[in-house]
Amino acid sequence: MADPMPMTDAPITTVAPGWAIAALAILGVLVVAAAMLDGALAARAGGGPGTVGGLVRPFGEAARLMRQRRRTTVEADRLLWRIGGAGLLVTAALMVTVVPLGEWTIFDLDVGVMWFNAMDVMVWALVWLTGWGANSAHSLVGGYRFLAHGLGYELPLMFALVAPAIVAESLNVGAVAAAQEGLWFAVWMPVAFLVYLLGVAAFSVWGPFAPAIGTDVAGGARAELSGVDRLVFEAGRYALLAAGAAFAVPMFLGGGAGPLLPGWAWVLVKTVALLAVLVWLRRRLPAFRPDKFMEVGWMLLLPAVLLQDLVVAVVAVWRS
Amino acid sequence: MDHGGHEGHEGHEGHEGMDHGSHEGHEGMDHGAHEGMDHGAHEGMDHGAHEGMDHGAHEGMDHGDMEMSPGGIPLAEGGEDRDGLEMDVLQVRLGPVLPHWPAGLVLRCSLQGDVIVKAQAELVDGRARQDDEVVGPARGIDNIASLLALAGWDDAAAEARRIRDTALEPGDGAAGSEVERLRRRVRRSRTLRWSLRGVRRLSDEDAHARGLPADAVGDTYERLMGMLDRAVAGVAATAARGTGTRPNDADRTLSTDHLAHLLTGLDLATARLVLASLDIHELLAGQAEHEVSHG
Repeated sequence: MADPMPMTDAPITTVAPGWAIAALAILGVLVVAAAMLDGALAARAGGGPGTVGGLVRPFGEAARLMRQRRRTTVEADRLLWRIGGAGLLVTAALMVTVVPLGEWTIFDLDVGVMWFNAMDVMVWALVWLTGWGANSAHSLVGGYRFLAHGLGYELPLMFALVAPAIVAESLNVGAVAAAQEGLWFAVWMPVAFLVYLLGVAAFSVWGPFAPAIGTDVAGGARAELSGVDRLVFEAGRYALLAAGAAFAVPMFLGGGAGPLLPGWAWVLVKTVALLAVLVWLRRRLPAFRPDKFMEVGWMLLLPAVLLQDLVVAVVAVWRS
Repeated sequence: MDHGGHEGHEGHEGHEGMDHGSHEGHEGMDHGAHEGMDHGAHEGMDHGAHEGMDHGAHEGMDHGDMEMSPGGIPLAEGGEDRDGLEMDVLQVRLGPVLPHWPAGLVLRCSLQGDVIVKAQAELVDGRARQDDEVVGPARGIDNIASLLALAGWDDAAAEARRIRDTALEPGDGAAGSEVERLRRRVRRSRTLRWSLRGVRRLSDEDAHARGLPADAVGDTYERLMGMLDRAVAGVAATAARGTGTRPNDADRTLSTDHLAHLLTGLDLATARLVLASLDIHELLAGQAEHEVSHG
């Protein structure tokens, strides 16, 4: 597989559904790696237990949460609350089903891009339900904040996903990856790529998009989550981040294309690199306050990404 | 405000049993206790006063199975929002113990969504502390750490906390260069400037009327810069062992009387940013228990 260009005809093989377990395992490894990296970066910034201590902190935290007694609140809407908390992880798992690992994929959907988009919209409901279900003012505020962010980031994210699909003339993720012959979409549609990355951080409630779970509202949407619920919610955020990074690989980074290594390995390398950037970014930026970000989303990001789509469409027409 | 519009609120969450627009079916209810809230007679009434009503008194009313307080928590009452539509009012108490929050301060808020429409500030433990020339600057740096943490910048907040700890250690002036570096870092951040610019701008008169020191003038970003400048100067003065003038000479004590005025009308996130930006070293219990409402 030294060929940097995947074969254009039938580049994708749909594997047996049982391989979904392997996909989940990979996602799990990415989640753990991202949490370790975040722990190490946090430790370095705080001068606390040292980098090694930071690396193992996620394990200690997971053990603590697993032993912690599950709290509940008075008159909590328990069903919706649990759906919200556990749903993030499920959504992330559903996202990666359409991401080809080199030549293999679990679902070779004709509308794979839309599938991913539908999943990230589902996060709106899930984070909101987590905030709503606990019947607590702080978590409700957190839920609202996420929706406010959502109004700002979702449309730019959608239009960012449109750009690669226009050039590939397909919503099939494998076809989009195959369409980047030699030149990654990230290179010649940088605006769409950056807006997409912002969107990934946003639907993972990550970094500058974390006011929904901010310390000023005692943890916001997750304020009342404890024990295993908390663990699953946090794992879900990392999983969404990882799934978002993985999906960027076929969409913007040429899929499995690359020298020497086989396609699947390139997908993993690119995913890990992008995930590391996203994790690192969290510590570099202050929060985007939801009320202020709305303006950025509509006045800056949306026009910018629409312009990007226009340029991409003109280039696509001119080429054909 | 048109309260005839209340009929349209039948579906309003939790209000099924007590739609005040239509009193049918409430025959068994004690309407005497209701006089103050009869919305029919509400025209021209001050809504601030309406919001100030003690809704806890409702628990005593015989509502039977009408679900007034499921699980022992009274349902949220509706109230006029800024846009004139009705919105639930939640009673939330902030403090006395909260991260990045002045110790002992209790703020009883009425929230609509996340906007503080009414607030009342109290102090749990009003003992006066006296900061010496080491603790003073360290407290200032701690306030900086709080503000940065509330602004969602974990890295810078962690750095500020580390500097605070250094500043508390006796001896070397190691904190001096560190706090200078933090100031440069914070100044470089465009995102932070964008986020804090224009938040609760205070004029000279505002600051004076609220009993705030003159350096509180400006918006939250300017106040943060002022805090950093004072921290740099304070740490330097400590290192020089009180030769030069104390830069913390401004009285950093604030009476709780003024707090509610400062924070009412802001949303939770902004209110907490503003409170942290005031660089409060000490709180004084207010003379009167003010209740401030917005609008």
